[in-house]
Amino acid sequence: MKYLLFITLFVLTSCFSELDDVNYPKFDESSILTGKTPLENIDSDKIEGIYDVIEGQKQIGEKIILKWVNNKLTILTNKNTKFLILNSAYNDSAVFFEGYWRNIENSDVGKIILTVGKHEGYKTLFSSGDDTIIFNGYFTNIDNSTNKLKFKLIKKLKENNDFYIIGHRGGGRNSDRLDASENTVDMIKLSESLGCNSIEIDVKITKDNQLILYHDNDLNPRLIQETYMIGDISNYTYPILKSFVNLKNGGKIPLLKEALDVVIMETNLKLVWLDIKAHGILKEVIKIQKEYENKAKNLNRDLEIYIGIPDEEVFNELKTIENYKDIKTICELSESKVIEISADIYAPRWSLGLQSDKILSLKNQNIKSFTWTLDDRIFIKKYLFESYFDGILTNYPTILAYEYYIK
Amino acid sequence: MNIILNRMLHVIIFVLLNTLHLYSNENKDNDFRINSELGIGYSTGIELHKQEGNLKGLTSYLRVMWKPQHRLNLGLEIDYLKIREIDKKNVNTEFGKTDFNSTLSAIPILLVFNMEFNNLQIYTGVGVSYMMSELTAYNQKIINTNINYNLMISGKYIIKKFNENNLSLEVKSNIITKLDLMLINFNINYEFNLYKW
Repeated sequence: MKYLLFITLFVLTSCFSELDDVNYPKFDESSILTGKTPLENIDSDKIEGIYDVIEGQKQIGEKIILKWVNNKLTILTNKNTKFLILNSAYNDSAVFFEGYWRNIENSDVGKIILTVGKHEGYKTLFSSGDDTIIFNGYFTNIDNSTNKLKFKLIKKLKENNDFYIIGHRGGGRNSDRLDASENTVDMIKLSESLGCNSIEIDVKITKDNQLILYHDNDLNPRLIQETYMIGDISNYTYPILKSFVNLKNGGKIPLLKEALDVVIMETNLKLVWLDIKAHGILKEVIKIQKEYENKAKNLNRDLEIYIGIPDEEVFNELKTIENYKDIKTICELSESKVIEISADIYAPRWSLGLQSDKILSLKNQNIKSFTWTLDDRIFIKKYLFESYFDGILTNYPTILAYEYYIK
Repeated sequence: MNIILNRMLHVIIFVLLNTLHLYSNENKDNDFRINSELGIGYSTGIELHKQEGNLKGLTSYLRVMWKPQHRLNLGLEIDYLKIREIDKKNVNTEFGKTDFNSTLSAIPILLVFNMEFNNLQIYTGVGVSYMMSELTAYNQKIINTNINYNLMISGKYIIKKFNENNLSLEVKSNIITKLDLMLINFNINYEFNLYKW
């Protein structure tokens, strides 16, 4: 009995949160960008591409992908789960980049400083030259030592960008301690820098019938900072949630409408997957889906918004709605159910396998297929290279985007 | 930091429980007893992520122990813990001014193990906490409940013996795992025999 006690205590103490805080570098006064002109609205084709790493291979690998997103530079690597996001500014002598690198699988984070000098592609960035772009700079390790970085553009990114790189929970989960909380407007804004061209977000409803983005059924320390607020989120009204709940990695719980406004106005995301996390809300979600598809269309914004059908209950609820076959849906259920509701996209769990025959058969019926939630680099490559899926939902879009562009 | 604290807690529990039992008392009489303990005290807390509000309050508990007169005794415990109280007046929000009041309390129900070392007794407990939250804002009252895992470790020192009854001081720690919260309680405990055979 004594040893039963030991074992029980061991198991229970293991229930403690084991996540260390991630302290993203601050640049306020020490910023090298201070006093320089922000680099904005450059031709992304000039800077985006596959780069050969000449110095710093140990830190970021041999080949990296550079993307220019919302006036920020993103660097995707195949070194663990490492990625880099940098702000930029220029003066007469060089273009300067400053930001952070982050390895998602642990709490490692550090500074990055880069420059593109006068004779290293400076003019090319402003579309008035065609020099090969060469970045020079340094990488700060977790022990504060630094390593030199140097990389050179070798190839432009592929133009055919028809694959859906879908970020889970707006771009990433809380447990990966990104620079924003999951299912927030900040995460949606960050998502493209993480390599996403599409996102999945979770829709729930409050006591006062407001559709919000939130994943879990209850308020809990995984998602919010206030441990004194507990219980089912649908018991809370939106004003209380907005005013008194702070999300784990910062930010507030957004309304679905606020989130879609950000998608339309502040990103170039091409698809939003609305994962229905409550029952009895489908009619309201469909109204918003239609409203925002029209809004996007009126702004000449190419955006697809789909309702996710995750279970039988939502499936049956959908079938009670008039003209349900006309509603744009992503169905996670069987192939026959996909056809029964005329879903636009079939979305099986990745562990069901490549399902090549089924996916090809659906493709012939003009039905796309996405798989979820794929996070391991080996499996991501397998599904990317060997399957017929049109998109992959992942917690690690940085890995998926890297493998997609480097392919 | 959390990882280090967690590992330290594992090591402390492992070392304590694997060494202390060697020194525990084993009564030589053949009586089997069921004892009851009542405790009342004051609670304060340690939390991994600092929260606003008052993390102090009264606590009380009832413990029933089966004492088979071996080294390890077994029992059940039910506590009442007032965890936190927040009272804010005239908070400015985008929805207008409001008062904000929130209280969180818990009722842990635990399986308790106990070892005795003369006047010192060590308790550990595992179980669940029934959590209750009451929140008022914008003239709305919201009551929520949920259940979390709970573990408890405590040390009790007998300061006065009255025949088979004892008066003790007890320092107790309730750990509510999901909330990353450790509550420290300082209690007066009165133990009396319910049944003996």
